[in-house]
Amino acid sequence: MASTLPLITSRNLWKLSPLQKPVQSWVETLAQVEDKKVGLVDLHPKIFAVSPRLDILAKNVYWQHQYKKIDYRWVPTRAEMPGRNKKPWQQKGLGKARHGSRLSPQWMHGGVAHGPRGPKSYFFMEGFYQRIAGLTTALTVKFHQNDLHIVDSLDIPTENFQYMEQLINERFWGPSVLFVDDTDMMPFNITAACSKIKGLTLMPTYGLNVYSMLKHNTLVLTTKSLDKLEENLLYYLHHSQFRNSPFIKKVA
Amino acid sequence: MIRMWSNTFQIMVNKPTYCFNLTRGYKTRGEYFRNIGYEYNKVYKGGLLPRLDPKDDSIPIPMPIFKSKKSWSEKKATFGQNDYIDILGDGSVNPVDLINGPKWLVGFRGNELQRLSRQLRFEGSQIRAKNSNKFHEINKRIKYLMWRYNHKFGGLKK
Repeated sequence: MASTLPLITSRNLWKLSPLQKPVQSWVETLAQVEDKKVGLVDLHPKIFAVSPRLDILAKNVYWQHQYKKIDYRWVPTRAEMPGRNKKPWQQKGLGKARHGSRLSPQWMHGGVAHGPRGPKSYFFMEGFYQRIAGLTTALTVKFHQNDLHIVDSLDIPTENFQYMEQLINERFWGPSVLFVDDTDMMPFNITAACSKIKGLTLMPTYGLNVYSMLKHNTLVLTTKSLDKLEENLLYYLHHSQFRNSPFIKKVA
Repeated sequence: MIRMWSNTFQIMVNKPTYCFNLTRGYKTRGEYFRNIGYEYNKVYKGGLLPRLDPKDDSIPIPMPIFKSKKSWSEKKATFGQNDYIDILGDGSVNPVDLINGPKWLVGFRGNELQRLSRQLRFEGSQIRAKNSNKFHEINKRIKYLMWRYNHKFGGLKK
C-alpha cells in the first residue's frame, strides 16, 4: 500500500469557470481501521460549493414524501349503504321526529357525509432544476460540515461487523452512514458487515437522494460514484433542453 | 338472612329471631364524607405538574409501554431511493414509473370527479363485467358530483 501512495492527485473538471476555484477533499480507504489518507481530489465548485438554499432542501424532502403518497381511506355515503331506503314511520300522528330514511348520516348505521373518498393521490412533480439544486445543496452542506468522505473503494478485509464498528468509532462517522458506489452489486464483505449494524445502508449512485443524505449522519462516496455524479449533474446543468419540460400524463 | 348496615361494619345474621334488638344502621350526625376513595396524601402537590409522591414507591406511575419506532428498518432506511433516477441514472427511467398504486392514479392528481371518470376510462369495462353494482354506484356518484360542482353553491365550491 505504501509503495503506491498517493493513488490520486488530480482530476479533470468539466466546464470549470476560470473565476471559480475547485474545492478539495481527501481520499480515504476502508482497507484499514486507522484513518490514512490515500490521495487528494478536486471537486467541482458548481456541485460542492453552491450557496446553501435550505428552502430548496425542504421543498425536495416535501416532494419526496408527497409524490408517491396514496391515501386509500374510503367510507360509503348514504347512497352507497346496503339496505332499504324506506321511510321508517309515517310523517304525522305518532309524536315522533320526522324521518325519511334510516341511511341518513344522523342515524346509527347510516352513511357518512363528507368522509374520505376513495384512493386519492397527492402527486405533483417538483421542477427538474429544483431537484438538481436540491442534490447540489445537500452535497455542499454535507461537504462543508465535514460529513462527506471520499474513499477509493468499498472493499474491506473481513466480513466481521466488529471491523466496521471499530472503523466508524475511530473516524467519528456517527451512528449512521450511507455508502454509495457506482455498481449495483456491492462487495460481499461490506454487505455482510453492514447487514448486522443498524444505520449502515448501501446505495447505488442512481439511488442517491436528498432525504437519505439528510437522514444519515455521514455520506461516503467512492471515487467512481463521484465521477458519475459530477458527470450527470454537470450534463443537466449545461443543457437547457430539459428546462420547462412538463411531465406528460398517461392516457388510457 | 338479614343483612344489616351500620356506619362502621356489616353484620350478617342467619336467624332473624336474634336480631330484634338491633336497629337499622345509619350515619351519625356530624360526620361528613367527601370524595370517598380520595386520599389526600397520595398526590404530590409540590410542583407544577400533577405527579405522585416520589417517596411512595408502592404504586408505579402509569405510563404507556415504550415501543421503539424502528427508524432503521429496511423500508425507512431506504426511503426515497431512486427518486432522482431520471437525473442520476441513464435517463431511461422516471421516478413516476416506480410508484406503486392503482393505474389511474399513478402520476395524476385531481378532485373526486376527475379521479372517478379516469378510473372508468382505465378499467370501466372490467368493473362493469365483474361488479355491475359498483359500476352503477360510480356512475351515480359522477352524476351527483356533476350537479354539485356545476350547480350547487352557484358552481363555486369544489
